[in-house]
Amino acid sequence: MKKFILALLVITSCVSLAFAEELIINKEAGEIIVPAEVNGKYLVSPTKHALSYFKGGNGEKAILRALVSELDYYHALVELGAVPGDNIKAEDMKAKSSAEGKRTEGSKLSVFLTWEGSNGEVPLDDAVITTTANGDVRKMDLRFSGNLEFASKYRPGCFICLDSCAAGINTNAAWPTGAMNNKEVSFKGNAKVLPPDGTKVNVIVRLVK
Amino acid sequence: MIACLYNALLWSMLITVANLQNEWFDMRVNTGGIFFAVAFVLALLFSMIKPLRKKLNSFAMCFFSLVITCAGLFYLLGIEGLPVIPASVIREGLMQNHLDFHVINIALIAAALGGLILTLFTTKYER
Repeated sequence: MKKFILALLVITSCVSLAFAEELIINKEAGEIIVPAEVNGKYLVSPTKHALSYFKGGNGEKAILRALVSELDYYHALVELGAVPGDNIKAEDMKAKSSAEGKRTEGSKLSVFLTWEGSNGEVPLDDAVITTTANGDVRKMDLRFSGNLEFASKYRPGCFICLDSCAAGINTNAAWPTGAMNNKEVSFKGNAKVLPPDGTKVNVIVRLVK
Repeated sequence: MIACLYNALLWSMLITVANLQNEWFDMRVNTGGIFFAVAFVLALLFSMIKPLRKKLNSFAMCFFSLVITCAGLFYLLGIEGLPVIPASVIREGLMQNHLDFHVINIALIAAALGGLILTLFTTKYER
């Protein structure tokens, strides 16, 4: 019986090691690689989250489910030399339109995705379909928004929000707060670009200098 | 009892998916939790209110519920969302995010058809 339990422990630890996912920080290249997987729901349904930690409150609400903690990611960005904006507060999220809203600040970032068979790096911008009320399509402007206090207190798990937000570590300055409240813009994953539900992807985040 | 549960599950799926059309709602709740909670409340109501129970306890009513649910889901989700959203509701409720949508869809179809056949036999004796 003891041998059986020991064998079981060895097998389970080997299996968990085989699936171990880690945040990779490459200081020389100025990039962070976040392991994630595709959530097929948001290839057909709108969301404001591009990437969320699977154990966080919004873990199942994003196009990509991150397999590592958003807090570790925050510290990795700081280690890389990024400066957080920390200019969006919870009350800014109540803006009724983008005209009333505020844009996130912080170091500029570029985000790419790779997966088995992706044929090189795919910009996050191409993996997200942006639909606007007046056809006003804007290029993604991802920033290191910070929001460490909110992230640590409420643990929403948000890595990358698709509009300016008080919760995400990275959010999109192209769309101020209030734009989504006013239904000026909506986002969903691009099923023609992204691989199917459950596929493992690497999210490569680079600091734009 | 089985007919009440069958109707409750079908109507709950339709109510949950209808609510998911609101992005604000979808972003803030565990949709699977809503599905199971609504199904539980409806099953209680359907089995406790006698006139309702009598009305629902027939094969015809179960068949009607199935048709309305399928038509409603198709109207709300279209051909693109139909194989994904109901399965994602179940997956979120079970907190099993690695379950394949195809597997859940097969289980849903089997439960819908199997449940309907079961009501064909049980409703005769449960009046």
